[in-house]
Amino acid sequence: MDRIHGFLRLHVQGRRRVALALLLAACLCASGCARKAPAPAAKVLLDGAPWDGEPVSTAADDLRVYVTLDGDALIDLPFGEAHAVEIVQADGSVNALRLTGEAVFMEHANCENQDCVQMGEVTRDNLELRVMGGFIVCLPHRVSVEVRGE
Amino acid sequence: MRNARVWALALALLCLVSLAGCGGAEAKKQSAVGFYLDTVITLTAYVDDPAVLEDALAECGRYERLLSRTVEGSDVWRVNHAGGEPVEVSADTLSILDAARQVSERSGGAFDVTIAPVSTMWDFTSGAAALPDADALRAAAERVDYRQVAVDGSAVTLPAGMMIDLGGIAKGYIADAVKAYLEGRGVTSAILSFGGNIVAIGRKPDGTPWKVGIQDIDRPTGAYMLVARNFGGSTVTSGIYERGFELDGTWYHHILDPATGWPVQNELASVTIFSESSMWGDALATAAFALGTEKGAELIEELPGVEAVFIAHDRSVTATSGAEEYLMES
Repeated sequence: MDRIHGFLRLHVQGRRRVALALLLAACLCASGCARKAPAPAAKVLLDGAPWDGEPVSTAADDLRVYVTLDGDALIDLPFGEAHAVEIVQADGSVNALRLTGEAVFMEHANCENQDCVQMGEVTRDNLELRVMGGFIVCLPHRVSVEVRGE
Repeated sequence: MRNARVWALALALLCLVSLAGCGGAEAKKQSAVGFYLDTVITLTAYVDDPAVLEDALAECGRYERLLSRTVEGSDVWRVNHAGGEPVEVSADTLSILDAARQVSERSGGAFDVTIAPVSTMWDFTSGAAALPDADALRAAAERVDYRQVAVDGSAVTLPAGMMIDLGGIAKGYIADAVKAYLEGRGVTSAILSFGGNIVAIGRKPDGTPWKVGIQDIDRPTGAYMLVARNFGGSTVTSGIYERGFELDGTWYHHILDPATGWPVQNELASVTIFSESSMWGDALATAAFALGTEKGAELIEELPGVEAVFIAHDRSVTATSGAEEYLMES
């Protein structure tokens, strides 16, 4: 029974979202009013190296792993590939997410409560059985991970 | 030049078309995460308008400001700080206190909302493994007694020195309220998670029941011993593995015995309650756990529409008479 953390996020699923985003981006470019993207709130290391922002793998996969910070999209990856994702924030907060190809889990975090680490892994088998569904959440660091299908 | 203009026009038209497409009535799977009452709340619903889930999270915030023990000015905070004077509270708080009293009476005090003097002496969350002072804990346990909560109309009076904590029931109440809120907004298929409370609306879009894993008591989080069906009701699990710490070979967990102030020590590792109301499920999970398998099952059998599954440390599973329909082969 404690304080409120104003931390929430909505996700729209489906190809339409991607299509819409692409089209909007295209429209903005075409009309010459594209705004400069805001500076990223955190550094993302992908497999040990700074991530260049390029989409991770175009391989078709029915599940993807979406990582957000403060509700803003940070990176998304196909569930079926093995990757190490490290989210490093300016205040020193670190979350190390591990994708094995069969499971996703928070391998390490320097947060105070370690809840995210204790939330265990998300697999194809437990995705719809877990108390939190496909979510792994680190509240102290405002990092949310969701495994979800199209 | 001309080509560029044609392309720009085509793209603009496509934008309009796809925006219009998003305004249709087709419900899409959407999810939202929030943090209230020390709990991660996840809402997953088939809705067209994402604002619906945002609004539902705002409702959670409203209830937290009403029911939290630690939020200054909440109903519970004002009752606890009134020094024995009557305090006017909301209808929500009155409903919860009424249900809490009923569960307390039916369980002989195994569930008690006046547990706060005792529960505040334990720290199960920071990771520090420290026991409270035994004498102080005994003294605090003497200030735990649900029968001292006096309700007169909408005024609640609590003797000075006593404290209410709705932690064991408010999550369920809010889960029920958020469910009702979403139903009011036209949602017919959703699964909502409030810590150990799972509440569903309807069934999955394909018509099958929702599935809820019941944690394996000996394996890492996310490994399941049983799989339960949820037909649009509430599934609440209370287990010793959820919160606690180990000290000198003993696991000290968060389910406290109101009579002694110490963690309940019996054969049980977890209790799962299937019910329509998650508020009742929440309180009954704690009560049934504290009562143990035999008396806990007796309590649940008395209540229509409520079923339970008890999992003991030795991994034996005891189900009440109607629990079978909820359990799947796994």
